[in-house]
Amino acid sequence: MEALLVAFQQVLQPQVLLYLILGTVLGLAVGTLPGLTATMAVAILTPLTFWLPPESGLGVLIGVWNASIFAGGISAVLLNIPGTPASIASTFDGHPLVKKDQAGLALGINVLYSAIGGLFGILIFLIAAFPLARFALSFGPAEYFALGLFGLSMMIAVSGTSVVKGLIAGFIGLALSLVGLDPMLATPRFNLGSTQLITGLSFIPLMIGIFGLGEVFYQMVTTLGQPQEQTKPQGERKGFSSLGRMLVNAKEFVQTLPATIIGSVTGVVIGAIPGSGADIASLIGWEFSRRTSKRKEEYGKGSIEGLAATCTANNSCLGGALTTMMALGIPGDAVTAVLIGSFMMYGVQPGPAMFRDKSDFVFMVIGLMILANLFFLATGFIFSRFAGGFILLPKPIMWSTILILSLVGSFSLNNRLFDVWVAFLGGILGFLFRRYQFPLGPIILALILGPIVERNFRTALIISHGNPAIFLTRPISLIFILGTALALASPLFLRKKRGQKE
Amino acid sequence: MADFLFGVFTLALGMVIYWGANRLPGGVLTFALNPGFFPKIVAVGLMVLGAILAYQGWKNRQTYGEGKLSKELRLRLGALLGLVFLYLILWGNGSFLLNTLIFLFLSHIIMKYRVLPSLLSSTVITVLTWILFTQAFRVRLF
Repeated sequence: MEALLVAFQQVLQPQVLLYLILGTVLGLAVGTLPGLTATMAVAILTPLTFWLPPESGLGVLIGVWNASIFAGGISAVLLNIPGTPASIASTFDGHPLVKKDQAGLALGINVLYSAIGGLFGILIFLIAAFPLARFALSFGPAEYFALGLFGLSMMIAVSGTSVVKGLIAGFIGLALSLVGLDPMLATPRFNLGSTQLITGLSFIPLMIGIFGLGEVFYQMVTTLGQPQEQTKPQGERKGFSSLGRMLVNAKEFVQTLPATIIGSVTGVVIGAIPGSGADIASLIGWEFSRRTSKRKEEYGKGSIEGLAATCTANNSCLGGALTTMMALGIPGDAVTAVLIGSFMMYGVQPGPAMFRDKSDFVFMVIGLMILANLFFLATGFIFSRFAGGFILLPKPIMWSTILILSLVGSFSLNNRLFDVWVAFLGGILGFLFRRYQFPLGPIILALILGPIVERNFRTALIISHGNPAIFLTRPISLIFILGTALALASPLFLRKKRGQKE
Repeated sequence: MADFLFGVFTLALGMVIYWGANRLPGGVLTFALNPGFFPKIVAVGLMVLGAILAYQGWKNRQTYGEGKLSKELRLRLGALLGLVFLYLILWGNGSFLLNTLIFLFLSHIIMKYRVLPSLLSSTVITVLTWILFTQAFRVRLF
């Protein structure tokens, strides 16, 4: 408790608060604009925060992350277009509420329940992360290898259209992680004789390319290829004062309580599973809440319970994802994979040792997460009223801003043009992957996990004198290996089951 | 057909990595210490998956992608990629402000934005980017 108070003193400094507010405002903008994702924003802003002290820099990134997940619900409610993938399920009941002339209430639920979910996630992080990290300290190379493999397989299992494409994306990520020095003998590998590649591919410029530039190229061809239609949010048509009341009354609060609990718990659990993100959490949270509700028939037609469940689920997911990322060093989703890169930029390697050696840093992150949720709770009601006009920002301005920030941001990290070329090539790769429906998450996850998996795999084999049975004879490792097999086989079983039904 | 081509590319990538891994110095003590050990596993994985995707793509002759781009969109995308390429080639030559202004203005035109707002917004974005990086972050641009 004392450490948490010290951390609060650290994050309550005016400079840190200022950067946290800046991050929250940027996150509100990013989340509201359809097409911009939290992952993209964190990737682009990471080099910009390089120049700041860790608490201020992370204040910006954590502010953006939390606020953008919440703000994605604004366009989901007003336009029926999710601002970020995490808000897909918010369209189910949010937009029907707008059609019932209850836009204010829908936006208010989005603000209030997102904050409740976010704070619940942090509470669970506070309770679970330290024991989990202590437990993980007993892991050996075999366990770490199996855990890394499990993380990779989970992302592939939930990666959509084709397991083969998910696996290819993961293996391409692993191949990219091979560039540089061999993690055990420091032998240069696949650096094409270039000194620029001797330390490996720059992770942050590559992420900026894949998630920033790639998204711009992709959006340009998809948006310009469609007939232009002007969708105006309700507030824009009727005037912002006509949105109606935003706060739920006592009766509605009691009515939404079970959905809030279900959404919060589902979000944290899904978030903690490596590879699954806020989009999956909100969909599952909504479905669980619908199944247990007394008013099932209202779901999908403007149910305040349905909206409360999705809003709490997608924000509580952040606490779960952070728990896995910080306690085990395994990213929960694409954003946390990018955040690992940001942490490393500040010289901090997420994992169990961080809780032992840098617990003040962990508490600082907790403090920033709590404040970020309180900030968007305080500003979200006002921002939601005016977001309608903001959504109509011309796409070319948005795209070109991302384009130039991505290019100059990649350069600014090391003052190296080579990094900008890496970002550009990453952008082309990101475009092709989006276009031909290869999931992007496994590449980033594999880039992070590749060196961990390789180092621990080889160390374990050296310990066992080359006997691979070491991975199956240690209980924790065996559990993760079985989990990996299950994760990879589950899409095949599901497809077979679906085929039998049809 | 796109899946077939991606499959063939993945297969070829796997072969190149395997070839590169074979050329790495041999390990000492055990095979697991060999720097080429893990790359070979990755290479085999890529070859197997590439072959599966190529087979699936050939058999179905369909892509999970979003169909072919129109000629106009291909041209616009090509022009934007070419513009970024040119901007990076010219990086360090001339003036950052002028290069970026022209780059952004032409980007807006490629993105079908009107000329006058393009000019105005390009100027604002260029100046703000310059101020942000050179004045706030003390990055030396050109």
